[in-house]
Amino acid sequence: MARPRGRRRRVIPPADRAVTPPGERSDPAPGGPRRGADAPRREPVGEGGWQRTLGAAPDVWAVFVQGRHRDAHVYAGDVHAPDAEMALVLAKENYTRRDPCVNLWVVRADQIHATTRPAAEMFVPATDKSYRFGGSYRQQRRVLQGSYKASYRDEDQ
Amino acid sequence: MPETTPAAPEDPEVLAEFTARVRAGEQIEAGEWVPEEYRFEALRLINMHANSEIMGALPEREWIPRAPGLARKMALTAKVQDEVGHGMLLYRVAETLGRSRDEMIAELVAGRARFHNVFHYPAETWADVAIIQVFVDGAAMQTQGALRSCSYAPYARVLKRICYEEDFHIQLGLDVWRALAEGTPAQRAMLQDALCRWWTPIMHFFGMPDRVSPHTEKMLAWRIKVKSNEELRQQFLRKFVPIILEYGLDVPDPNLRWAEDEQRYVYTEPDWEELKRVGRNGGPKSAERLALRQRFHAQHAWVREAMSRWRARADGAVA
Amino acid sequence: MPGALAAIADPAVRAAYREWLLRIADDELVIGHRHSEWTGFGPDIESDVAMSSIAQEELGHGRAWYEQIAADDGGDADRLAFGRAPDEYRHAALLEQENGGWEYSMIRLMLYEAFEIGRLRLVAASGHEPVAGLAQTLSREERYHGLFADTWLTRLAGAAPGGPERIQAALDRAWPDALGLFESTAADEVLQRAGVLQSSPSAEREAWVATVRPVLERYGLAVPSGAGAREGGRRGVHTAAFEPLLAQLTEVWKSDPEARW
Repeated sequence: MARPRGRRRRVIPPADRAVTPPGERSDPAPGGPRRGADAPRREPVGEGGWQRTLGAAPDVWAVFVQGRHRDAHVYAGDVHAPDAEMALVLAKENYTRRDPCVNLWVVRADQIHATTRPAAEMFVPATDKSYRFGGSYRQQRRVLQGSYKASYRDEDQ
Repeated sequence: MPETTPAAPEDPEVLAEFTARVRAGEQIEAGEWVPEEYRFEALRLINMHANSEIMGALPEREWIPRAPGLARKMALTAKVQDEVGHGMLLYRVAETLGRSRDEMIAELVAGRARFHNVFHYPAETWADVAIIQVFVDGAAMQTQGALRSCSYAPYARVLKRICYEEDFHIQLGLDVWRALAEGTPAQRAMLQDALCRWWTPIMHFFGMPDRVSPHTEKMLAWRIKVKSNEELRQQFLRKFVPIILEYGLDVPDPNLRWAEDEQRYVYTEPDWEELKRVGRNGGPKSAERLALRQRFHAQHAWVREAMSRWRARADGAVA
Repeated sequence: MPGALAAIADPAVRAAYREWLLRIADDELVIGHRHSEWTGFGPDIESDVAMSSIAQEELGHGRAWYEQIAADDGGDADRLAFGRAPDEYRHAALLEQENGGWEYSMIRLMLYEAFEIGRLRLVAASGHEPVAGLAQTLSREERYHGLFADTWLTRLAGAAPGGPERIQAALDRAWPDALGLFESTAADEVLQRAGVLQSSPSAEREAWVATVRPVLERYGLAVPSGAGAREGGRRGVHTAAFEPLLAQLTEVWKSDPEARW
C-alpha cells in the first residue's frame, strides 16, 4: 500500500510521554533486599504476564505536575511520605522548584497498574491503519497542516 | 567493609541473550528480569552515587552560615538542596533494584557503605566552595554525563535531570571562582590554596586506570560502565585545566602537561594507596562526618517512629 | 527607585518607620539563617529539601526588606545584613535560638508564621507603597511555610511515641520568646499616632493568640499561661545565642567588607 508522502507514521508509542508509570518490581515485598521476580524467559503475550502492579513500598507516592492550567498532569517522580497530605506538601518543593506548577496530584505508587514489557508487542499495529488518519493525501494534509490542527495544538498558543 | 558477593551465574543461554539485547542498545526498565550480577553491579553503582550526594552535602553546607552575602547564601543553600534532592532521586532508583531506602541510609550512617572520595576531605575556606562547585562537580559531570547512556533506564532518566541541575551549579561556582580570581591578593591566594589542596582528591575521583579484565569488559557490554576511568579523567582535564590557566592560577601538579604526541595530558601518578584508604572510610573527615550523620539519625529516630505510626493509622482508616 | 521611607517627610516618623522595617528584615534574616542550618540534617530527605526552600525564601524576604530601607538610606542590603553592630539588630529572641530538635523548629515555625502573616497583613493594609505591595507578594510564600509546620505538627503531636509531651515542652520553651515578637518601643506609638500603622503591638498579640490557640489545642497542646514575654530584641538587647550566630554570619564578609565576593 502506498504511504502518503510527508507523513511519518509512528508505530511505537513514545516511552516518555505524559503518564509513564514509575518502574518497579512486580512482586510487592516491602523493604529488604529482593531478588528479581519475573521469570527468566519472556512470556508470550496472551498467555498471562501482560499486566502487573508496581511493587513499590506503601510509603512511596507518585507525583504528577500540571505546569499551566490547560496542560495535562505529567509524571515527575516519587516522594516517600506517610500519607497523601504530606506527599503533596513535600512534592511542591521536591518537584516544582524550577518548573512552573499550578496543580499537583499524588497517588500511592503501589496503586498504579501497568502493562509489562513483553506486552509492548500488542501495541504495534499489524496492518495499515491509515484509515484512522483520514482519506486522501490532500484531505490528510488539510487536517494536519490546517486550521483544525492549529486550533487544538497547544504549543502554538 | 563487608560487601555481599553476587550469586552464582544463571543459565548461560539466558545470560547471553540478555547481554546481546543490551549490547544492541536496548534499555532495561525497572521490574524486568536481569541477571543477578547485573542487578548487583547496577545497585552498587547507584547506591554509592546516592550515598555520595547525601555525604557531599556536608563539606559545602559548612559554608552556608558563613556565606559572604545574601545572594551567595541563598545560592549555596539552593545548590546543597539540589544535592540532597539528587540523593532522594537516586535512592528511589536503587529501590527499584531491590533495597529499601531506610536500609541503605542506615548502612551509610553506620559507616558500612561507600561514598566518593572527594567528600571525605575538609572544606577549609570559602574558596573551597568555588573549587568544589567548579572542579568536583565538574568531575562528577563527566561520569554522570557519560552514564546518561547507561542501560538501566530509571538511572539514565534521573541522570539527565541531575546533569541539567549540575550545569547550574558549575555556573554558580564559576561566578564565585571569578570573584575570587579577579579579587584582592588575599582572595586569589585563598583560591590558589584551595585548588592545591583539592587537586589530588579530584585526580583520584575517576579511579585508577581500568585493568583490562573480563569484569570490565562485561560492565562495558552491559553499559553499567560507559567510558573508562582514564577517558573520563582526560575529558575532565581537557575541559577544566584551561580555566585555571585562563585566570592566571597555577595548576597544582607541576608535571601536568599536554603531550602532543600522545594527544593526552600526562601528570604525576597520584598515590592510589590514599584513595584505597579513603574508600574504606579512612579519609581526613570520614569519621567526623559519619559521626555527625549518626547523631542526627539518632536524634530523629522518634520522628521516624511517629511517621510510621501515623502511616499505619492512615492505612487502617482507609482500609 | 525610592523606597518606603522617602515618602515620609517627618524625620521622627521616618526614623520610627526605619526601625520598624528593620524588625521585619532582621527577623527574616535571622530565622532564614537558622532554617538554613537544617540543610543536610532534616528528619527525611524530602523534608530536608522543603525546609531548605523555606530558608531560602526567608533570606530572600530579608533581602527585599533591606533593599527597601537601603533605597533611601544609601548603602545596600548586604551592608545592612552583615555590617551592623549587634545592638543595632532589631529581631526578637525567638528567631535567634538554636534549632534544637525538629519539634522545636516546627513549633517555632508555626508560631512565627502566624505572627508574620499578621504583620504582613498590617503592612499591606497600610496602603503605604511600595511596601504594601511587597507584603502582599511575600504572604504567598509565608502561607506554605505555615502549611508545612502545621502538617508536621499534626503528625508529631498526633503520633509521637509517648504522646505530645515532647512537643508540649518545645511549646513551653518557645512561648515566652514568641510573646517577645510583640515587644513595643517608642517607635510603635510614633507610627500609630502618625497613622502609618493602624494597630498596636498589644492588639496584634491578642489577635495572634486568638489565631494560634485553637490550632495548638487541635494538636492536643496546652497554651502556656502566666508566662511573661522575653523582651529586649526590639531594643537591640539579644540573648546569648546571637553573638555566635552573628560571628558566623559575618565571618567571611567581615574579612574584607569592600571586596567583591
